[in-house]
Amino acid sequence: MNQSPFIGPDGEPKLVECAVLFFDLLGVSAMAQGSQAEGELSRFNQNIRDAFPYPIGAAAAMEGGSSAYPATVFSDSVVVAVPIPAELPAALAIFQIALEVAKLQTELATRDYFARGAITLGRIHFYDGLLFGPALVEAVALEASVATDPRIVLSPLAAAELVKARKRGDPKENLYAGAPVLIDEDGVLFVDYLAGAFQADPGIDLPGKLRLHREVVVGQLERQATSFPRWSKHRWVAEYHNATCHTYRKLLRDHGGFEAFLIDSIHTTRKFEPL
Amino acid sequence: MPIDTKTLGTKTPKALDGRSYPSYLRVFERFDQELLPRVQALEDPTLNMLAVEASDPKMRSVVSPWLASAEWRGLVDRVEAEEMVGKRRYRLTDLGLEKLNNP
Repeated sequence: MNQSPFIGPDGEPKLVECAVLFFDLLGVSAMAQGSQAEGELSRFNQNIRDAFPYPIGAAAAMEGGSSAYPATVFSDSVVVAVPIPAELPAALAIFQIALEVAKLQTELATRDYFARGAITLGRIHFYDGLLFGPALVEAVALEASVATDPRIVLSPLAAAELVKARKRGDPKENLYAGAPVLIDEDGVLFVDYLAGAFQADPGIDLPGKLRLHREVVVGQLERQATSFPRWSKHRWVAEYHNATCHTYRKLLRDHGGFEAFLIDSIHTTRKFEPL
Repeated sequence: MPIDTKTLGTKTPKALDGRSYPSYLRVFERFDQELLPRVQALEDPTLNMLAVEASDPKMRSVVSPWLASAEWRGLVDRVEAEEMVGKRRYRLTDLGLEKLNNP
């Protein structure tokens, strides 16, 4: 008997209500085309598999019962779907994905892979190598037209579910307001990946991660200095990095002060607000 | 263990660097009695192994935040501290075993 939620009782393909995560990794396409492609593949293969919470190629693995969720990587693009049964609050699935992707993004960003994408709520079919459905179409469109910078944004519906959960007043629902998301200056919600990792991972080396993050962003700003479109994406990360240093300034006091962690090679002024 | 052992058993455990247990993870503590036995039975499971075992989709969705909550409270610990997220394996600590045996 097939246990996949994406297949009906008679073997017919189904669209299933899911929280969908889609993102691409900046610079991976260029790495795949460069003269160092094999070396880049080796580095990418190890990092993405070690950082990803579920097995890559997990659509097949889920169908075989060895992965919790279907997930796939195609060149520089990653798709994960978390089915939402009727009894499961959609906000829980959003919360879960935001927390997991925060840790994943932090691992990848500190290894010089910056993610840009979206989390959506809606229907998708994800089975036997076939991905189809409006939630994926929306996520891809948001990645291209709204995310713009290396951030994973929440669709309007996904954002509304989090806000609704907070307003319900039930203590169980209140926790969703703790999801690691921030509001950017354009009003768009995005995953606050460094804070998510710092909150959900007690074992993380906070100053060490911030130092690494600083190092890779400064390196990108230097390398992309003659390409404004690429440089500006990393400028956004620098803005986010500096805002995060400010948020954690008390914890950084014993490590030379938060000023020592700032990216000071450019002027940053952007403000990010909590949900 | 990255947690200040003096704060274990309190409502707000603290990491050695001063970070506090996020209050929004408290709601997941009610899954201890369902998930602690699974950590023990699976012998050093990864997040994915624990989630696969959860046939109830709701339980599957709480595995990840519950693991974070359990780690903050010193109930589980990593087998290898330096592993990246996808490779991390978890095991019960003495405190986790105590909680399992004396809920």
